Amino acid sequence: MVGELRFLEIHELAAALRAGEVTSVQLTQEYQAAADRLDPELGTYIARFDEAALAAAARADAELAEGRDRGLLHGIPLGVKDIIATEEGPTTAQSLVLDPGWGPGGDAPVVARLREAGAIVLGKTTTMEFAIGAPDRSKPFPVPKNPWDTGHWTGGSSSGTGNGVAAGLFPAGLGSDTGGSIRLPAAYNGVSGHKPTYGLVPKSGVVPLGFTYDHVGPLARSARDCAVLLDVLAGPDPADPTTVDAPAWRRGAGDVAAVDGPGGDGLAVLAGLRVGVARAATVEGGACEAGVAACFDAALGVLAQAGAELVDVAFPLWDELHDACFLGLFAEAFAWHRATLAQRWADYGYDTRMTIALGGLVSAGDYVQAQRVRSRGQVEVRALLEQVDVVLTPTTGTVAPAFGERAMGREQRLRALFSPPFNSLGLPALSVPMGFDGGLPTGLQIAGAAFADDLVLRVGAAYQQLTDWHRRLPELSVAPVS
Amino acid sequence: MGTYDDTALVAGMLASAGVQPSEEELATLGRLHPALRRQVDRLYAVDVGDAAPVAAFRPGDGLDAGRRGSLGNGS
Repeated sequence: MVGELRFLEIHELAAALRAGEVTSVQLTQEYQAAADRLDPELGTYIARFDEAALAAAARADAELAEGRDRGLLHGIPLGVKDIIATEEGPTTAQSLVLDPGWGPGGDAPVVARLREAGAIVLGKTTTMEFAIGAPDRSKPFPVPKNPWDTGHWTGGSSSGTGNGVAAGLFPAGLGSDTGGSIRLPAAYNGVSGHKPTYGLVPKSGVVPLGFTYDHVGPLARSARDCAVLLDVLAGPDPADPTTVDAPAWRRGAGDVAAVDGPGGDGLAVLAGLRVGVARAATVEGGACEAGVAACFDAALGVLAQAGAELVDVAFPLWDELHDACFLGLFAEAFAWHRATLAQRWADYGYDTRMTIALGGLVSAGDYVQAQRVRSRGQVEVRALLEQVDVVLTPTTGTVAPAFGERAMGREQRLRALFSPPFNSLGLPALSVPMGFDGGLPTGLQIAGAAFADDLVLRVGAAYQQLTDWHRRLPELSVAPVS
Repeated sequence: MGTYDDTALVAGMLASAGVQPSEEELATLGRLHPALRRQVDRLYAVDVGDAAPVAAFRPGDGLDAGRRGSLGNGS
């Protein structure tokens, strides 16, 4: 069976491990061999922890042999975005500027939780500098490429985790999302990515971008696998006072993990589900390409056929919540970076320093107003989510752009991202593959009420029972590993 | 609202923070500034009533920003 495993989902890998068809060491070696072949082209990793990963895999195998089973993630290799601290070495945030001594001096709580659950950390994955820049060939870091077409970008900023899952370099991993940085690479690379409700997953030990917009969450081959990771990641942490205990999530998590398992009836969630379709704000907003809109309509048709009730909704304050995300996160980023921008301006990448500098042009009053608009948005969107169970949009209005492509102006490029309002609101939002436009993947965004992460993931898992977009593989990645 | 030179304004605001982009970069930021202001003005057009900011101060939190780390330069 070894050699066929790289593209399996976590529950399938877990079954193979327990059936003795493969060991964690063999699995780790297979992913490492794939990285040997593909990483130089794809730019997935900033650092690999080959020896430490193999040692951890050997321990996982020994535990399973002794009858100690830590759960579905036991012995499963993962990638970790390089703004998240791990004990193996410094975090770079893909920047020359970050002090190598930054961090808690060990694992971030999210990494510690994954290890406690038996996961193997294969290495640190590429990002945009400080999770906000752009691919920058002038700096000594890899430029992540899209495995569906290496002339195109992966999206970001969880770039390496996204393209690594798509290319079969690991089955899942960690990303972060301040304006769409989990969902965007999920959509562009044809994988699944979940931005949890704000406060569900701790951000301690993670390089901040926008303190009140940052979220940490999983990217994986399926919504179901995202749920498997989220079940381990969720829960309060004393070092992050924004975290909360969310018993509702804990009640739902086990069911989500089993949603399409033997005897399960994952499709039941769709019967009578009230689906709000935010068409006017997104598809009809002037920033959505026709091919993406066609994929979105087809996805809606699948859900309706399975019993969901589609309702066109006017999403309140969509544009304003979009603006409140970027203006607010720019200001928060500027506060964190100001001293270093003053001292080491040229050491930042061009896009990074220019974007963060915009935060210095937002006044204190402007920033407070953005936070007041978010408050108003919370009230109005909560009312909307009493009328419908989930809200659907395309994740973005375009497929992954080609490197150097500037077909749209800056403002229109940002408008084509349909993720930021959910950062302003802190609501759970999942992106799952929904088809292809010109050979490149498109994403379906499923958002719900605060702490309704279980419902959002169930809807995503049900959609993936009815479609196979998430099982499509980029040609580049499936060539045999020699 | 009075008229002003966007590039000069941007240069002044950033200089007051100790940040000094090149002339070319300041010109680029000056070109971006009107769009930024339009976005800001749109926020003030929302009827938020007496809404408090979403990031409210909570005295019981015991906030310790240092726990998320810093750049190592006191920022």
